Order: sequence, then C-alpha cells, then structure tokens
Amino acid sequence: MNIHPDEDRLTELVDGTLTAAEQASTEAHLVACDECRAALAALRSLIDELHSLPRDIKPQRDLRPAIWAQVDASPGTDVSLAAVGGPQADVQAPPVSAVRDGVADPSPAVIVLPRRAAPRTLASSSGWLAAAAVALIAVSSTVTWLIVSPAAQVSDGIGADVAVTSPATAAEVQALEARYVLATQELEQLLEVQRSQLPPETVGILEENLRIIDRALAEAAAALAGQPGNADLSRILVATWEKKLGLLRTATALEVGI
Amino acid sequence: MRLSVERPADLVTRAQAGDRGAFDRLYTEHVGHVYALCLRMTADAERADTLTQDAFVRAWRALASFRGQSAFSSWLHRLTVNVVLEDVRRTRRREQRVQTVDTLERHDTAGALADPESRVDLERAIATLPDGARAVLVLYDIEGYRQEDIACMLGIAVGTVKAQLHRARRLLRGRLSR
Repeated sequence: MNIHPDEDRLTELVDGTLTAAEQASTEAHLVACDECRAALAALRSLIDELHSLPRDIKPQRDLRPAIWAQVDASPGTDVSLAAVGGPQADVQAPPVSAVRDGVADPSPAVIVLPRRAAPRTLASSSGWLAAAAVALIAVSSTVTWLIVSPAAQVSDGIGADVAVTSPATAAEVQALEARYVLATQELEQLLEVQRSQLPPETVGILEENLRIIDRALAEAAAALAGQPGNADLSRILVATWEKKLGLLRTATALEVGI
Repeated sequence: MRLSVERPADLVTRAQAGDRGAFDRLYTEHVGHVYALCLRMTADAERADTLTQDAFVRAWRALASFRGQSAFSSWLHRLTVNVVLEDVRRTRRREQRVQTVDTLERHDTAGALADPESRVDLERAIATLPDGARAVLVLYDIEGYRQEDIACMLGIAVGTVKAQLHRARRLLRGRLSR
C-alpha cells in the first residue's frame, strides 16, 4: 500500500477489526513510512492512556441517605418482586455478554431494565375508559381527603403553593406522607396507562419534573429524619408533595380531558 | 479471635433478604465505579450524583431478580448503563462540562496515570467530546464493552459505533496536542 492509511484505518488496525488483507497492506505501508508509524504510535499511546484511567471515582458526598430516603419516599412498584414471579415481570436478558476481553465477568449477564409495566393503548382494550374512570374516582376520593385535611390546607394568593399548614408532630407528618404516597401512586398508575397517548416531548418534560420533585422530596425527608418536628422542614415536605400531586393531577386531567 | 471475611455473594444474599446494612456495604464497594461511569457519560457532576443515586435505588428494587449468573458488579454496571442511557436520551443535556473538569481535578488520583496532569488533561478532553462520541468512547475504551454490545445499548448500527469511536479518538488527539 503506497497511499497513507487514514486515521480510521489505523484505529481499526489497533482494534484488530481489519480484514487479513487490509491488515497486511497497512502493515506493509507502515514498515516504509515513518509518518504513519508515528501516527500509529500516538494513537496507541492515547488508547493506553484511556485504559489507564481509574475505573473508580468517589462521589463528593455520601449518597446513601438520599438513596434510602428516595426508597422510602417513593416505594413505587417493586421491580424485584415483579421480576421474581409476577405476570408482568420486567426482566430482560441480553443476547450477548456485556464485556469483552476479560475486562469483567464474561458470563451471560442477567440484565434488569427497571421500567413500568407496558402501557395499554385505547385501541387494545375496550375496558380502558371504564378502568380509567374507576381509577379517577378512586384518586379523586384520596385527593379530596388531602384537600379537606386541615394539615394540607392551601391558602390563597401569592405563595399559595408553599403556604401549607404544617403538621404539628412527627406522627402527623408520617400519616400525611402516607396519604400523599397513596394519592400520588394512584395518579402515577393512571398516568402510566395514559402515557402512550402523550407526545414524547410531554412525557420527557413530565418525567424530568417528577424526577426533580422526587429528589426534593428525598432531600426534605432526609433532612426531616435528622430533625424530627422541625416545622419548617415539615412545611417544605408537605409543599413538595403538593407540587407532585398537582403536577400529576394536571397531567392525568389533561390526558383524560376532565 | 477468628476474623471472618464476608463474601460479596453473601452480602448480595443478605441484601436480597432486605438487609440494608448489607446493601450499604455493596454501595461502598461499588459506588466508585458506578459514579465514574455516570460522570464520564454525562460530563455533569450534579447529574452524575442523581444518576448514581437512581442506579442504587433501582438496584435495591431489582435485587430479587439478580440470580448470580454474572458477577454482581457486572449486573450493577449494566443496570447503571441503562439508567444513564435512559437519562441521556430523555434530557440530551450538553452543559456544565466545566464543572465536571473541576470535579475530576478534585478527586483522588490514586491509581491514575503516572502523570496526574496528563490524566486531568485527558479527562478534560473527554468531557468536551460530543455526547454520542463520548458515550461510545467511554463504553469502549474505558469500560471495555464490545462494539456489538454498544450498538445494542445505544440502538445504533455497529458501523456508527465505529464511526463515533474514530471521531472521538481523532478529536481527543487533536485536543491533547494543542
């Protein structure tokens, strides 16, 4: 080969993905070309450096409190239980090993793709609307409780979304949270059924907002766990639950058209 | 007095039974690798925190489905890749790379390149790569996945993986030689 191999060819030579003929011609050129040998050496040096990068980088803070707070604040569907024996197991096994070249365990990996149950479409089920209606009634009853509950009163005017009367005791906070969890779970289940009807952009925005709120909830719960009875933290926690509830109610109401 | 060293498999078994202490130890053992993957894939330190947190929350919830057919570290790693790729697809975030470089510079460099400055330069250059090229480079050159597997994960053709890899290496060489 008299023509200089391009960088892609050199990269493939390093990766061992050239055909035997391509490899032979490239290597024949390299024997006689100082410039290409230098380019190959530089490429190999770069790849060696990449391989030498540390595989571990510790986060700046201990994430465990936030992890457990998130687990406790948003129990959600336990994917592990569904995967074991439930009819809607959410486990997929990939067809290929996850790693190459002995970098890690080459045995077939059981890959869990945590996700919610596959949404049903309107066309696939004539009972969908009825189910949605039943779910809405159930949700409404819970939401109604939240609205009329003294601990969850929302004031009018500027800042209404954060002007929620805080529960007086840790036990009241716990009881109120349980109600919020129930209400939001019901709405999330309803939304899950409806999500296939929503534009992908809307789903993306919705999920991002829910993620932000869930994170705020986890942080508030973690802070409150360290300072039980702190009225300000209780108020923040309740207000954050209100945000989540409001977002979910808006999303489900828009979809169903109520 | 006899010291007992708990095997990783025992920790997993205990965690599967609901033992949070055992899961905490699994976290301690694996968080560095999980976080490194999240940080390099997103080039966003704050996002890496969130995704690391999400990965462990999902791991806790999915533990019962882990049957020991692969190493727990491999299982957790693939779960983390899924978490990151879902997030990348959803948000397409491209900002805050400067913050990542700062974060990398502050981290312990034990076990890194002989020349710490070279490592920082390399991490900085990786963080500035385009998203697609960076994802392929991290998964292939740092994490050691096969090109075919990366194609499956990213939902692209193997040829595209190669093209992105070549592009990433070419960009890295150009940026490191400045």
